[in-house]
Amino acid sequence: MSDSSTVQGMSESSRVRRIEAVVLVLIFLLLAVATVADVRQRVNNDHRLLADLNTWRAVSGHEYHNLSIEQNKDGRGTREVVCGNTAPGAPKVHVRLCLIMSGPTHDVRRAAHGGYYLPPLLDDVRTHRYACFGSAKRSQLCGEAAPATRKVSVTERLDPGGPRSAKRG
Amino acid sequence: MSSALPAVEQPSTQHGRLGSQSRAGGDSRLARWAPLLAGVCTAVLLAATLEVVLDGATGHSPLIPKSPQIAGWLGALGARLSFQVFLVALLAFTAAYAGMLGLSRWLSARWVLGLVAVLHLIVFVGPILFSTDVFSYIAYARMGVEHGINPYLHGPSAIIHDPVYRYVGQSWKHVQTAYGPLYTLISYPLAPLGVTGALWGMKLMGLAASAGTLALTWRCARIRGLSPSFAVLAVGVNPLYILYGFGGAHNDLILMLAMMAAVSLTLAGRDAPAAAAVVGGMLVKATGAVLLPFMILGRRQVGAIVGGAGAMLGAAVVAYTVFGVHGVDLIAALNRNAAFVSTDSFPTEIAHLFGKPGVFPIDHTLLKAALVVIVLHLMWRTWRGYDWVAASGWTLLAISVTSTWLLAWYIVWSLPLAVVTRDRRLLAATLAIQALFIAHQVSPLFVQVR
Repeated sequence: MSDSSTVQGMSESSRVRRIEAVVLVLIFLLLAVATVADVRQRVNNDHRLLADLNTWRAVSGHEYHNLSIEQNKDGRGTREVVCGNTAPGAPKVHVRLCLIMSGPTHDVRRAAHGGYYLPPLLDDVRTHRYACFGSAKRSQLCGEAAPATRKVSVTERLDPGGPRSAKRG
Repeated sequence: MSSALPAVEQPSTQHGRLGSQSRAGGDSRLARWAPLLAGVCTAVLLAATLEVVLDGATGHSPLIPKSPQIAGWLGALGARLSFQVFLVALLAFTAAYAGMLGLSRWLSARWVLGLVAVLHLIVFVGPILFSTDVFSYIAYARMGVEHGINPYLHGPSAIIHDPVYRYVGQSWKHVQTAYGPLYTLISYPLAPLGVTGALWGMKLMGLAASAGTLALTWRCARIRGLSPSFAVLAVGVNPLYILYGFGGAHNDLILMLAMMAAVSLTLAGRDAPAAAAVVGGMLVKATGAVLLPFMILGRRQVGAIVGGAGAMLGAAVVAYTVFGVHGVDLIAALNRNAAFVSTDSFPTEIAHLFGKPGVFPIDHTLLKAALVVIVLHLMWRTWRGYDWVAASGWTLLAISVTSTWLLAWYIVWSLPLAVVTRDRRLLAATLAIQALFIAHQVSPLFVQVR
């Protein structure tokens, strides 16, 4: 290789390296922004989750830890449904109280504006829900027929004066 | 601690040449503090590792997989490992690792090797960390040896009554092995040892592979005129390498051993065995195949082609004989794994950034296309004289970044290659990607959900 072609080769190589460096920096910036945004989203989700769990415990009066939550994780909505047993026991083995929560978090609590009950062991689908109250009743989230295991008395345990309590329908 | 440091070494050739006078002044000030700082960093590394291992040994942690009690005797010294404690330990370990890399020019080789050895020893005697994969390895081995079932056709659910079954990860119970036939054959002799015996066998295999990888890393760095001590420090003390890779006894350590053997053999001018070593790595985990085209393009030796082709042919015959056609079909295993999605993958994070709930089939296609472009560019660069080892490292890093199924030990693949190349951008990129991965884990530190 002649001197001129060597110089040409070097300049081409350094130009390629410069382009590569720019691309690498841009990729890193994209990944860094995505990582930070994702961590922020996770923290927000966890913060909301904690508030939802606290709210369910405050409204139901039960300090249970085995609660199921249907959480909106993509950051585009804040409506979530938290379900938990109305009596001590393994998850789902008793009648469950489900509360619908939405809105911002205040003092690690959120507004519960409705809910419904679920019989033991059954999935959370419209036909299994009963005794809808608040926004759940307005949105007609409950099925027509109440299951045989329905225990309306459980509804009475709700503390209507509790923090951001559910409105009973 | 600092007084125990051996004599301070002269700055190595790669670090000391370009410093200006002011930098030299800063260096001399840092040199005075280096033994103390290195002592502090070493203490943090050891303390963080001990914390994770001792707390992990007590079990009952969501971070520690269900396992036979192989480290129960350590459990009395620790408490249940929570996410918060683990994350603090991981961040402390990472910060101390970064500090040690910065101080590496003042560390003696003896100090570095001693630290690497002690960290390995602590993790080796501890429980399996953060992953159930090792139980899948054992399950596949027991399927083949104890039950006469082909692990390339069935998942561990085919041996539901075997004692290892209860330890296999929930997501993998119905999944047949995605590992290469060489690795499956290597694991077969461990099957008759029982679950606990096989687990120790896997840990020993990981230890031997790690020791071999680090020894070859040292050798390659020395031959290439780089600091071997820095290279071994960067790999052997890396948090993802030691805690996740070695802590989980992952077979990626064997893949890295094969890769470094290939690099080392090419440096000795033995291209045919080097290509055979790459094929060996590929037969442990298919990802290892990426080195072969770059080696052939970079070396331009007939030996590399002959060695690679010969090894592939021999391995195909053995794999077909033992496992049938499914044992040879590594592409199917790769395609199956490529469809998985993990929350820690960068494509998932980017999807979230743009308001999508996750990655879709079109994203998989786009990512594959991006990877092809990167590989073609690197092949062109290698043909034009770029270091084939660095090109291989970039490809492995690109695979982990574009993969929708990203696990901590995948981002370690490129590390041993990065520390033996002169293009320091690869090392910087690998460590930057690792830092982002670690940063992505920290959300439980901000909110403790109870």
